[in-house]
Amino acid sequence: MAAVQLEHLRKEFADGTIGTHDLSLQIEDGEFLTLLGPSGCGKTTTLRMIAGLEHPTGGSIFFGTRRVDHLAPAARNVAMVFQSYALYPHMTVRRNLEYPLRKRRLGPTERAARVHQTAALLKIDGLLDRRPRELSGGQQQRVALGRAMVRDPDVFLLDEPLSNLDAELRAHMRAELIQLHHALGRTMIYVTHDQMEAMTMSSRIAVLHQGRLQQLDRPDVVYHRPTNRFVAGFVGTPAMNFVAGETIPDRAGTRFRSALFEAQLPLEIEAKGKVLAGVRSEDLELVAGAGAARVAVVETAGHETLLWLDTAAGRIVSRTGPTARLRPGDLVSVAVKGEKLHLFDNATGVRLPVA
Amino acid sequence: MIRTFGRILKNLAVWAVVLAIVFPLLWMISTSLKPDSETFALPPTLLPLHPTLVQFRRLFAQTPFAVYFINSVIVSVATTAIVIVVALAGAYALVRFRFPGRQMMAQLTLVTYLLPTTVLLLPLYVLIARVGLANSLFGLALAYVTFTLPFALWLLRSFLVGIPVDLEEAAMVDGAGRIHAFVEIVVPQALPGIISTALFSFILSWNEYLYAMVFINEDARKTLPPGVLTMLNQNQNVQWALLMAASVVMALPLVIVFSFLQGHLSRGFGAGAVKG
Amino acid sequence: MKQAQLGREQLLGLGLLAPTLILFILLIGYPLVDSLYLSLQRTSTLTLASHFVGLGNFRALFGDPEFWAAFAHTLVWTAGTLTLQLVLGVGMALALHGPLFARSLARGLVLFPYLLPTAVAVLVWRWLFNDLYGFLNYALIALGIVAHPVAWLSRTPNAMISVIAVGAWKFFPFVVIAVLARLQSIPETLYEAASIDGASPLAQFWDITLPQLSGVLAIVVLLRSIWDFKEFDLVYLMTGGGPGTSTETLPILVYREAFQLLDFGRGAAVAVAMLAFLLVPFAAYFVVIRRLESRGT
Repeated sequence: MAAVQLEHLRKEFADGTIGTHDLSLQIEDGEFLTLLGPSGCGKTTTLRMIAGLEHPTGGSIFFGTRRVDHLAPAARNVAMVFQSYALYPHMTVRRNLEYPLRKRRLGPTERAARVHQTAALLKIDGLLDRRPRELSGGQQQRVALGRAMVRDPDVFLLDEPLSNLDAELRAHMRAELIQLHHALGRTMIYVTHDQMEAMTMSSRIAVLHQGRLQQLDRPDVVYHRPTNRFVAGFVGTPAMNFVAGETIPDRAGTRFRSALFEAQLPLEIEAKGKVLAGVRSEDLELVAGAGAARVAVVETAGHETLLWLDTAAGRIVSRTGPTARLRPGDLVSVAVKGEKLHLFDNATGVRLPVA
Repeated sequence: MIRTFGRILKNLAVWAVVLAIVFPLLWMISTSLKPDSETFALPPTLLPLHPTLVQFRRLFAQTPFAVYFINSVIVSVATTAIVIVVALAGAYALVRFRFPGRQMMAQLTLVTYLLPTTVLLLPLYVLIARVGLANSLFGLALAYVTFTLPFALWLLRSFLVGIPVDLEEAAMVDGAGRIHAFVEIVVPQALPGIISTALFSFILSWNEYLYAMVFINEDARKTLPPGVLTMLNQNQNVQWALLMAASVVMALPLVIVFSFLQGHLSRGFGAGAVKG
Repeated sequence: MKQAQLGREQLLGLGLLAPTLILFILLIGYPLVDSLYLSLQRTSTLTLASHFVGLGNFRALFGDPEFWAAFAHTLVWTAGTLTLQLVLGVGMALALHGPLFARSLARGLVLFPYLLPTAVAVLVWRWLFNDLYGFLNYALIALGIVAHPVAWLSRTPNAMISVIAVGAWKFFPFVVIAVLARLQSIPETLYEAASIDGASPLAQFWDITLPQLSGVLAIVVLLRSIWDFKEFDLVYLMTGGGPGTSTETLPILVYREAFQLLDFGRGAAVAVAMLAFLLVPFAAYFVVIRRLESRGT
């Protein structure tokens, strides 16, 4: 059907920069896959190669069993929502929605039917005779979505479609997109650098960094078992804390020791010498009074409090409930449960033990 | 494969057209380097068989060309100087100051730019004569102001609009007066625009024919365009090679100006000519 | 304190604008009014003629077939050269917008005709058009396209055609610059969206490029038609209005009446008539600009 397969996809640009190195990815039919990563990681390049707007330097792209990387965009039956929406400025909303249908030579009655159906679904049927510049950002975004939906394509490609919206609208549209995906059941490939979007909307997340795939998994797995230091530090807000230390064997198994705290590790983990430990801000346990950490900044955000602590291991952040009884200058001691630690190889950044 | 072939074809076609457009100029240069005998030979040769500078020598030695040249320089420089100073002040006023009728002024400059020179020709002729400036280079420069000033105002205004106010305001907070802020902060920023405008004004003055022909009848005071063209009509046997040499020299300032302006040109025209 | 400062600011502003205003009024405003004045008078006298006599110039003019012939010639010249300028200009702009070998060099070269003094352009082309030794005739005969040398400027339909062609050559770069600037501001994503939607390159030109160019083209058409209409130098220097009066346009008629037939008043009347004709494109230009600005283009 419409499973998308990328095999050893490589993109080298004219000026020598590498967009993607040997990227292989299997996207299931009907899933919502997010390409997540910082700018320059290759996610947009990958999306554009799937769309046919860039030619891969090497590798191949399959839609199901059909090889498509030689095909023009029009022949691939994909639809794309651009970051800037790319609505045709001199056409009304109706004509914008109709355009792909005209290019596929649908008759006027069928066009009108599809346009109305899509417009009703997205609640823009009242805007059909307006021009794009008369619409708000959110409305333009829906029209862009509508233009993609109206053709009933095999694959939807979305390039950071929410990044131009204000925070409130963004939250609203996130929910709408999730609903839309359920309703349509089509494969959606979504590009963003916002990991909150990725976490809430995706069936699976593909984390990319410098043109390479770091991890491909369900959101909860990416969050709770990041495969390397990069993914661990990129996913999650506030970012994961990293503490240098070492793992040493003792009578009960293996122990993690650092300048800031110590913890007993689960039995499966072997001692490996120097390691980098990651701790999520919500997994830190603080006890007020004496300790190796000093409170530097207290940020109260209504539903939670962030405490920034200065320690021998650098600055770390702890997330607690709304009642913060700590103030800048207070000393605290830090503890972590062993099973909450994420251990990474000092040199390669790979997770220990490899799952 | 087919794509590269098509691309090569397209490149060739476009460059063929570009060369066809430039050909007259190349032919002009080629002819200017030919002796008379070769100029009137058939079939005509694309490149001179015996290239020579004799035409140029004749031009300066045996015709009043040098005089015309100097006159053109004088008039063009004078016009440009007047226009730049006046237009810069005026453009600055239009952009930075608020006073009644400001919008109307901006529109007005546009109208004047569209006026036919032929409409102004006769009354200007009368005016210049009455003031006693008939047949003078300064009178001609004043006449040139009529079409260079609106254009310069338009261009400079569009350049000044692009300079953020914050810089002058910072300077004024730091203690500079309005005029000082203008001279020390705005002018250096707008310098590329000012230079472009000055060069455009120079070209407009340099190229002008009608007013130069009508307002000046003494040969010693003529500028290049009318001067050289009288050489055309002088005798039955037209000295084409000589005229081509004259053309080359007349086009020279243009080439110099042009290489100066390479990138600026499209920006200047694009911004100024098309926007209101 | 604030009031005084504001007043001083205003004064300074007006002061800076003053030289411009003075020159405008002196050299443009006054002559403009004066030309109307002159058109109502006879040559050598500077006394204002009576109202009745005043319109006499115009009446004589409008009854004179030569005036209408000149008007017709001006229309033919303007329409002809403008069409060619548009076709050449848009085509060249499109070619210079896409990928091209040594593109910036090409863009520079294409501008030369526009920046050349008209006098030079005329000299070069008259030399090219020369019956006996001109390169054009030689090339055409050598290629077998014509059998005998063509009289480019001394025969009736030829002269106007030649002038129109040279006018197109001289002025089309203006179209190129304006259109190219606009082409470069069309977002690439529009074309990408269209290609995904299934549009062929031709469809993309029709559905995206042309509508985006409509504003620029309207302005270019208006500006160039005004400027071509009032063009004196090129036509006069190419043909002098000849052969006979077959290429005599209105600006040339102004010159002839005033400086050859020595009827100043009639010359001024022709000029005023020209101005009246131009009011239509003038007004259209301002309407279009205003509409474009409100559209935000």
